[in-house]
Amino acid sequence: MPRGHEEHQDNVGAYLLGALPELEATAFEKHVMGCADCRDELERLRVSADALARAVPQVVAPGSLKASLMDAVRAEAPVTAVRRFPIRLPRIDLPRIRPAMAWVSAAFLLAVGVLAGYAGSVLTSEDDAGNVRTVAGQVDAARSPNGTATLVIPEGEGDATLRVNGMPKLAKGYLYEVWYSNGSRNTPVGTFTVDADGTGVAALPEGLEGVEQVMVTRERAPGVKAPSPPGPLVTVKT
Amino acid sequence: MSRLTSLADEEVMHAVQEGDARAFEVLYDRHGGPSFSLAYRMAGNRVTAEDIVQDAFLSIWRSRERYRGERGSVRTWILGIVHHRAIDALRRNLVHDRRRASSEGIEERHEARELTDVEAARREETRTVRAALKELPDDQLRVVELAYYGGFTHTQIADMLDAPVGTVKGRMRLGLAKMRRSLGEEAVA
Ligand SMILES: [Zn+2]
Repeated sequence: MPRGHEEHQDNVGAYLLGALPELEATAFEKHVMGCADCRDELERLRVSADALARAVPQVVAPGSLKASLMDAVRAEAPVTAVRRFPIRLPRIDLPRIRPAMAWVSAAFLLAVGVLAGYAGSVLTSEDDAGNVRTVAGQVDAARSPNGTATLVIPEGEGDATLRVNGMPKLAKGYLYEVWYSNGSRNTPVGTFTVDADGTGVAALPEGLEGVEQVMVTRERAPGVKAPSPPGPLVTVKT
Repeated sequence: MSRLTSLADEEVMHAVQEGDARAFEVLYDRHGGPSFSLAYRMAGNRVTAEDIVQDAFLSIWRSRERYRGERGSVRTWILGIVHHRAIDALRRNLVHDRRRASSEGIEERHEARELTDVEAARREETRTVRAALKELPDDQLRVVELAYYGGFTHTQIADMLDAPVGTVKGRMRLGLAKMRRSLGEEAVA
């Protein structure tokens, strides 16, 4: 039996209950690594200590707790399947980009009109955990009846994130393309795909300064210069 | 969501490890309630309990890649983290309220609307553990509660009870051992 066993073996209960101050807990852990007797006892009694967590009266957690937790988590969710292009934002030098919005046809506007009451509204702002602003987007209901889109914009540092749910699955060879629009110009910023549930996340590059709208189109190849007809599936006013 | 909700905890955890926020939401939906209940029992107020749970779950999310599923259930792992965070929070408080480890005055508010099989099994488990606690002699029950729910150290408890530290440690160990026998061989995973 390793040295110090006598003095350590009585610590097992206190250790499992969280009653040992940090230094003593560390010393105990060290001893346990080299002491099979203490290790066995620790594992045996751990069952009791773990059970204590479940013996408490069950109360209902407030919904606001989940909301603020999930806001923070979504803002941090990693980007899946997003490929970024070298970005040049349309500040000065993108003269060749087509005068925008021509493809925002009356039919499209009609289709998204149904959602207008919801879209564009700021869903949350300044949440305690992550200081993000969340904006709901407009989804073309004709092409994506169950689609939703949310733009999460950090108040300070950090990239904005676009999340989409319930989007149409992409046929082979197709991609979703994200565009920045400042009203007269559209600039492609990158592509993403969605999973089987139609969910996708895109981390938006370069901040959103000067960007009036973030849009998503379906494209056959990355790197197209202008959105292909019939235009954007998703539009989010920043 | 439907696909995720049908997965076992371990599988949901794998999705969380890959950074799936929806899987994390499922994880919270399953274990947030028991976590909040534990935090509330320890902190004695809802505001601190919310802080503890938010803190614990964010740490789970942020260190998700470090999760190793080799020992115990996902729930046990999560509740262990919540317990740690709660103890940290209680120890940061300069004023120790001796009564905080007591369950008096904490009424049960619940309960989950749907009585699923899982929920029923969980309540049965809670009853079993409470029964095991009830069988403890008072002096053992007292130190176990003060330590686990109150977040007090062995020396603080010794001071409170005016008992030698060695005695307090001994009661803790005896209490857990007795509980272990009452809980029987079917481990509460
Ligand atoms: Zn030992």
